[in-house]
Amino acid sequence: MTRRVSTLVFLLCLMIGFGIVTQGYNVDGNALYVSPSSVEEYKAVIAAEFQSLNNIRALTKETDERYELYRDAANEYNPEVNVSDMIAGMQSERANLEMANGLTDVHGPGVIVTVDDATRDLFENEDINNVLVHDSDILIIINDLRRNGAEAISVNGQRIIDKSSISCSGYTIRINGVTYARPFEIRAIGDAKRMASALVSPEGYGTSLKQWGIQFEVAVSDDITIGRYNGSLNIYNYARETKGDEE
Amino acid sequence: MRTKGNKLTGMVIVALLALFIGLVLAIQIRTTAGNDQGGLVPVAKLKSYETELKNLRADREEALALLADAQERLSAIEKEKAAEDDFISGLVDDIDKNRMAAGLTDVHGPGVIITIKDPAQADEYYGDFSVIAYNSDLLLSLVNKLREAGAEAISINEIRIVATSEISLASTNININGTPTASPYTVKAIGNPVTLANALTIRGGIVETMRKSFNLTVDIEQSEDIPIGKYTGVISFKYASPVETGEQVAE
Repeated sequence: MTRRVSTLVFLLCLMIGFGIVTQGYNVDGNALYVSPSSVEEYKAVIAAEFQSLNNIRALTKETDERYELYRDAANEYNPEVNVSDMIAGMQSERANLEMANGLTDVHGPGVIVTVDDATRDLFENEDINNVLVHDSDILIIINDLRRNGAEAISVNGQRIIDKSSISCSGYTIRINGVTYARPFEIRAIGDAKRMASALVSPEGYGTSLKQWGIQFEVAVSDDITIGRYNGSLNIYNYARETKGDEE
Repeated sequence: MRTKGNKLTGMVIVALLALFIGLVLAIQIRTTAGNDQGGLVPVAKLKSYETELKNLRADREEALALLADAQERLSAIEKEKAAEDDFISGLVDDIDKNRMAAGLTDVHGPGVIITIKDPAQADEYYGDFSVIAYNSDLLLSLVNKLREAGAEAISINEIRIVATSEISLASTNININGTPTASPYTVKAIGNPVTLANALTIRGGIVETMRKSFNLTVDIEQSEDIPIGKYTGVISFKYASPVETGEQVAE
């Protein structure tokens, strides 16, 4: 009798315990509870969508204004004057786009960053790579400059454009297919103070490079010049423009 | 004899029960402790975010359609004028080429789709943050390798990568073009699919690093036709201005 009761109690407890463990889950395997990071991810994605929406609306407004200008040019009584408006509008659009594509020499306030290999002696058995400037260092510096609003960037006089890649080949670095050796001079036009302070702040990449002994200097300037990209515009072998009527 | 036996069985049962309850408690505590900031969040709470996101996405689709309309109208009137005038025709041609190069057009073509996922949640010791986010240099390097292999258009989580694009950690997530993104990451690139895939999967290359050193799940899929959307930011220059012709280019 007592044994049967005990067995029953035991089985009951077993079931309850099992129930507690599985409680967090639905029958179909979906969690009833999720970790807070999912909420963070949702928030991030929502913020992104919101920003994207605003950007698209701004672009639409800009396009509409341009359209109205051109339409008026096409319809006005005295076409000569307004066609020249339209041409001026198009020329300024072309100039803006060419600047964005790095096809124009530009000048403005900015920073000049100089990076060079460390001159200190190596520790015993230390890897020589610790004291050399790598392609990834240049890549990260360029990324930090862009993050802080750089509008035009060059490395050793070579303009960095959309299709530019930076790769290590032995002791040299290849940019836009041209090979460069140390020291590296990176120029960036934009908010000079913001870019410089980001690089040399305690968490900045320049600070961490210096800790390895790498020579790293940032000079702020009121007016620097960055030359244009010397190649031509992209030739597309694979990408095709998606037209409105295609789906 | 009989009573003694019963007593013994009872003790064994109590011992087993205690052991079991202890185990259950331990499991419960561990599950909760894994998520340090306030433990678990009910799924119901996520539903509101889900709805908000769904609405925003619908709005965005609508806005994109409006933009496409406006651009089509604009290009129609440009073409119309271009047909009458060689000078305008040249301008329109230049603008079209530059727009494509600046990433302002939707494009499609062959290429690769790379999906990068954080280590499975079961890996408790990684905690609750995104490994990819804290190593955003990996994505930066990936994009660089794709460009080196001749990628003609690249997007990360549908955000077009252009000349000014940055990939950087901002608090707990990666910002691209100033826009927050979340894991998992889908990177699309248009170019020669075989060249692109091989450049990434080379021994000791970026994909191997992601898999072996960071425990990320990386899939590369070659595809005959990948659509990549346009850059939807506004291009404007606040600091840089063109060097006027005749002005000396100082070194």
